Order: sequence, then structure tokens, then C-alpha cells
Amino acid sequence: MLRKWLTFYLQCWRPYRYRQAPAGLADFVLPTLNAAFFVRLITLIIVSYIVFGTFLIPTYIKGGSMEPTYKRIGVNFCWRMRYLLHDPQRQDIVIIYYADKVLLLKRVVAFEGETVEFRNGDLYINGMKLDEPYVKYACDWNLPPRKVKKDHIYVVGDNRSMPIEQHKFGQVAKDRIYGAPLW
Amino acid sequence: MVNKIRISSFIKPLLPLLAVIAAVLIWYVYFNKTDKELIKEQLYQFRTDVSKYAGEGMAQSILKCKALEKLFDKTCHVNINVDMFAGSFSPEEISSKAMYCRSHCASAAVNFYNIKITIDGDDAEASLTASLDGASRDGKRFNEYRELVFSFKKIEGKWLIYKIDIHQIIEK
Repeated sequence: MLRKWLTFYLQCWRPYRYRQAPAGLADFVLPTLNAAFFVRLITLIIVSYIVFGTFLIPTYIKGGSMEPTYKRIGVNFCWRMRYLLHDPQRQDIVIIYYADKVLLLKRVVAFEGETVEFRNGDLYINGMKLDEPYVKYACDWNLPPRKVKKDHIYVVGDNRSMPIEQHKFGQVAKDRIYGAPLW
Repeated sequence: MVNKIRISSFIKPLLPLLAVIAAVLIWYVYFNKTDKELIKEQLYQFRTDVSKYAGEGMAQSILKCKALEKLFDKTCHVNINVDMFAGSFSPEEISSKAMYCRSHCASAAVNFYNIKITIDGDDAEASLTASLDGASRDGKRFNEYRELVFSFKKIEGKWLIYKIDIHQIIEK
């Protein structure tokens, strides 16, 4: 029985199994509504639901905190498997789970136990200035040194042209890392 | 017609059995709640009682704040970086503080996401992300997110809140 169903299922994916070869463009583009077509359609829906609902979450970027690396408005995918086997590295771009349907796109700059500080717009980790070629806009941020808590990472956006109070950055629990952008 | 008679005569002897199964299912769903479900119920009750929906009257506000008292232990410690709301409070004090907050808001909808509950004997902890969405009396809109950790203690079969930690999701 199972073998019979499997054979039928595999045949559904063979071109022109249940229809004639396309005669013209319309015949090529428009599907023939037969059993094979619906089997393929249902398969596609199920696979898309699993892939785009679990592993590759479609995301809409709204906000300029990662400019110019990411534009103010854009579309991307969150690849949830990126940090399944290893932790993020310094200067990796990660997606943080913030609340219900809100995710934050930020860059990792420090790890637990490290000291983070901003001096005249420069970022210092453990007292050493961090080279940040991705920061294109000048800033004058000042933030006293603070230690990153256990099981936390420190994230900042690339766009620091706004006042420090208006930029959402800081330490966040590691278990809030949702994934990484696909591109 | 023949078929109908056959089906009814087949089901009739099974009716008492079906009734028993239905009763057991109802009992299981409504009365046999796990500790996690009971804690979640308390959290949802808290969410409902602190939310203020547009057009809510004074009487309803008082009733909600009064209902809030039942969710807390004799003393509840609140950790938050706002002096006015930090400290140890009795259920009555929490209720009056909730009333004070409600009087300053035209609407305030609280929602909980990503609830994680850990139970250790008669103690439990629920960590979650909370959103507060609403508007003040002068029409200023707000939409805030915080990380909350509720500590519960089981007293006489009821899970009561004795500690609330509120902090920023991202701390500078």
C-alpha cells in the first residue's frame, strides 16, 4: 500500500506524466488542474510552512539603526540555525527576539565578563579600542564602563549618528538570540 | 430507514458509557489542571486586572484592582528601577498603586509573550516578555516592552506572587 502511494507520489513530480507536453507558452505557464498538480501544490505548501515558519523566518526591516550596512527599509530572512552549534563571534550581526513580532537587528561587540565603554564615539572593550570599519557616521557617544553580565552579550547598531538615548543597544540575554540575517 | 434503526440500536447501549467518557473529559479539562496551567491562569488574571481598556469606568477599575489583591502573597517584593514602584508591598498597597497608574492612563493594554515556567516543589518562577501599549490622559501614546520574572509560592493550593523583577530587555 505504502509502496503504491510512494510510486504515485514520485510520479506526480515527473514532467508531463499526466498531461501532454506543452504546445505553446500558455500551456507551459498555466498548470493543468489534475491530481499530480494538487499533490505538488500541497507538498509545496507544507514544505513552505515548515521552512518559512521554523528555519527561515521572513523579516521586514524598519528603522535605520543598522545603516549603512542595512537600509532603513528592507526585507530579509532570519536564519535560525546559524547559532545552533556555536556562539556568535565578535562583530557578527545577529537578530534578537524582542517581543511578540518585534525582532532587533544588531551587531555583537562584547561577551560576558568583558567591559564595554564609549569614549567620544569610540567603542572600547576591556579598555582597548575596537576597530569598527562598518561604522560610517561620526558620533560623540559617551558611556561609562560596564561589565557584561553572565549569559549575556552586548549588542550595538552600526548607525550611531543619533543621540545615545535614542539608540536601542546594550546587553541582552544570550537565549534571546533568534538567528542571523540570511544576507 | 433500516440503517437508521440499526445505528440507533447500536448507539443506545453505548450512551451511558459515552456520558461517562464525556464527564471524565470535562473533569479532566476543567478541574484537573496542572501547576503550570494554574500559574498561567494567575498570570492571565494579572494581565486582565492591570489592563485598562478604553471606556472602562471607575467602578470597573475598583473591581479590577480589588481582584488584583487576591493574586499576591502577604508581602510582595517588586524590583524595578522606578523608586515609586520598587520595594515590598502588601496586596492592598499594590492594588492602590495599580489604581494610581490607571488614573493616569486613558488606556493601557498589557500582554505577555514567551512565557517560561519552572516549578520547584512549592516554588515557581515564570519569566516572560511583557508589552504595555496605551495612551496617557493627555493623549501621549506609549508602547513599552520589559522582561518580567514572577516568583510564585503555593499557599493552600493557590499560586500566589511574592516577587516581581522588572527589567529592560536591552540594558545599556
